[in-house]
Amino acid sequence: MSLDLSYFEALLGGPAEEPSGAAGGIWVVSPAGAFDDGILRLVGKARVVADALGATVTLLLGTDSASDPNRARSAIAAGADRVLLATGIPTVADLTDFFQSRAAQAILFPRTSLGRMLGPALAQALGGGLCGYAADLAVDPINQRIVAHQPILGDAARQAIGLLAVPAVVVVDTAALPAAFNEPWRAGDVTDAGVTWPSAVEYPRARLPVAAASAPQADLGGAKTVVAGGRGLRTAEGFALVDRLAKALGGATAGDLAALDAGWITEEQLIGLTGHSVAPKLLVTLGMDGDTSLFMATQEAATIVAVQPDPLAAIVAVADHNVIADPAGFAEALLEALAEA
Amino acid sequence: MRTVVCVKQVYDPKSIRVSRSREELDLREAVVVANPADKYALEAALRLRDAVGGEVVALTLDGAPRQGQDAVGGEDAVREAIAIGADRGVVLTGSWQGDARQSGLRLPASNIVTRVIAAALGKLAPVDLALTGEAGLVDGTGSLAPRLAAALGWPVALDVLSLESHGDGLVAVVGQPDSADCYRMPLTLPAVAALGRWAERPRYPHPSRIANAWGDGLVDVWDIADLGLAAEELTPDAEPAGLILGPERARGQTIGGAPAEAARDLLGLLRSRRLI
Repeated sequence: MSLDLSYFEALLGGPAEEPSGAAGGIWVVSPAGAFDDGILRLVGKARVVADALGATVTLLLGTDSASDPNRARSAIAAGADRVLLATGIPTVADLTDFFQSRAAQAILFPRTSLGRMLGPALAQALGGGLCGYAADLAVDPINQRIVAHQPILGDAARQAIGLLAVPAVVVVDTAALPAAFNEPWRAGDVTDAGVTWPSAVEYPRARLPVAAASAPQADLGGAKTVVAGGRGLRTAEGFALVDRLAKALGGATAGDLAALDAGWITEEQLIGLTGHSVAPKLLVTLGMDGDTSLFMATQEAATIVAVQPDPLAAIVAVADHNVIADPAGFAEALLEALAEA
Repeated sequence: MRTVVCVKQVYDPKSIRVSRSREELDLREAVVVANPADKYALEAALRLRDAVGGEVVALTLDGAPRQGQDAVGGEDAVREAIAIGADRGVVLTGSWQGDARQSGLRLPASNIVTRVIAAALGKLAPVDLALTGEAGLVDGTGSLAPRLAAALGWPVALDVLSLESHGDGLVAVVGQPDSADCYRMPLTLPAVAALGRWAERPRYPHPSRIANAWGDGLVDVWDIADLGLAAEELTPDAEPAGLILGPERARGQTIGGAPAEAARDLLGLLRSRRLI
C-alpha cells in the first residue's frame, strides 16, 4: 500500500504538480474588440486567477482598437499587464495560429455570440480544457488548476469544473462577475499584436417576420413590473383580474403553462423554461404554486409577491412577501385599495 | 441530404432538488427527458427533409448507469425522435475515463462527446448537416456545435432560427438573442448548426408513429469500438470538482389579515420600498 504524499508536498512547498504553461499566462480575448464594463470585469477576474498562479494577464483586443488609448489604459487599471491590439476579427483558424506558440495557461472569452463560437472551437483546436459557460473562476490551491463555476438549473447551483488540459478555455458570463478593479497606479504595456485578421462578413439584417417571432416581447422582458397568473385563478374571469392588476400597476401580464393551456394567455406571455425569463423589480404571482421552471425564469426578479392559498406551496419559500389567500378575492381587494389611493 | 440531429437526455429540472445538507443534486426522483432544445433541431431537420428530401438520423450518447440505479439509456430519446419524424436512430455507448456529470447524467467530458460524435458522423458518411439544440436544459453551455465543427473542419452557425435550401448549400436564418433582428447566412455543406431558442416550434409525435417507433431495426447501437476508438484514448479535458451552493434565500414575510386589510398592508409595503 502506498500513500499519496502530493498534498503534503504541496503544503510544504515541495515538488507538487507544476503549473504547465504558466509562462503564457492568462489571456482575455475580446474578438470583436468590444470594450465594455464586462470586459473590464473579466480582466479583473483574470487578475485574481493570475495572482493565484503567479502568472501575467494579457488582453487581446480585436478590430482597430488603437484609436482610443483610454481603453488600453483602463484595461491596465483593471488588472491587465499587457494589452495587445490586433486589426480585424479573427476566425478559429486565426486564433489557433495565434495561440499555438504562446503557451497560454488559460484563455477567457466573454459570453457573446462570437465568444460562444470561438471559445469551444479554440479549445478543440488546441486540445485544451473547456468550460463553455462559467459564472466565476477560481484556482485549486493543491494542484494549481483553474476551476470554472458553471451555473446549472438557472444558477440555482454551480458545478465546479476542474480544467485538466492546458490551455483552459473558459467562456464567461461577465454579467455575473464582481465589479472591475480601477487601480490607476498599475503599470502595463500596450503593444501592437502584429496581426491583421480579415473583417467579419456583414450580412444584411432584417426584422424577424411576425410569424417566426415567438421572440420575447419587449414589454415582458424589459418590464419593471410583471403580474403573472396561474391555474389557481380557476376561470378566465379570474385571470382577467391579472390583466386589470397589471394595468393598474403599469406592468405586463404573464402566465404559466397552465394559463397557456387554458387559453388565458398567448405564447408571448408565457414565463417558465419553455417560455420567457423575466427580471422585473416587482413580480406579483396570483394562483401559482411555484416550480423549478417558474423559479428559473424569475430568479432575476428583485421582489416577488406571491398570492395563493396553500401555506406549504413551494413558492412560499421563494417569495419575499406571501399572501395566503384566494388569489381572485385578494386581487379584487388589491384593485379596490389601489383605486382608493 | 442526410441530416444528423444530436439529441441528448437530461433530467427535467422540475424533478431535480438541490440538497443543501449533502451539497449535491438530489436525483432520486429525477425524471429523464429529451432535451427540449434538441427538438427544435429535429423540427428544422424535418422541415428541411420535407423541402428537399433525404434522411434524418437521430443520434445520442448513452448516459452511463448511475450508482445504485437502473441504467439511463439514450434509446428513449432516439425512439421519441423517430416517433416525431426521424427516419432512424443511433445510440452510442461505451466506457470512457472520467465523468463530467454534465446535466446530472454521468456523461463524459465535452471533448470525449465531441470525439465520439465526430467518429459516428464519419461512420454515417456521407453526412451533409449535423444539428444540435442551442444548449442543454440544465447546464446551458451550448458548446457542442462549435466544438464539433472545429473537430470536423466544417462551418458552423449558432442561434439559427430556420434553414432554407439554396443551390448547393443552405441559408441559415440567424437570430440575435437579445433583439428581433436576424440575418441570412450562407452555409456551405457539410456544416454544423445549432438551433436557437426562438426557432420553429417542434411538432408533436403523430399517434401512428409512436407505436411504430419502438419497432425493430430502427435504432443502431454502436460501441466506441465500432467507431474505431479505444477507452484509453478518451481522456477527459475537465472533471467535476464539487457543487457550489449560494446562500439560501431568506424565507419571505407572510402578510395576514382579511383580504382588504392585507391588500392595504401590501400596498403600503410596496410603496415604502418604491416598487410601485
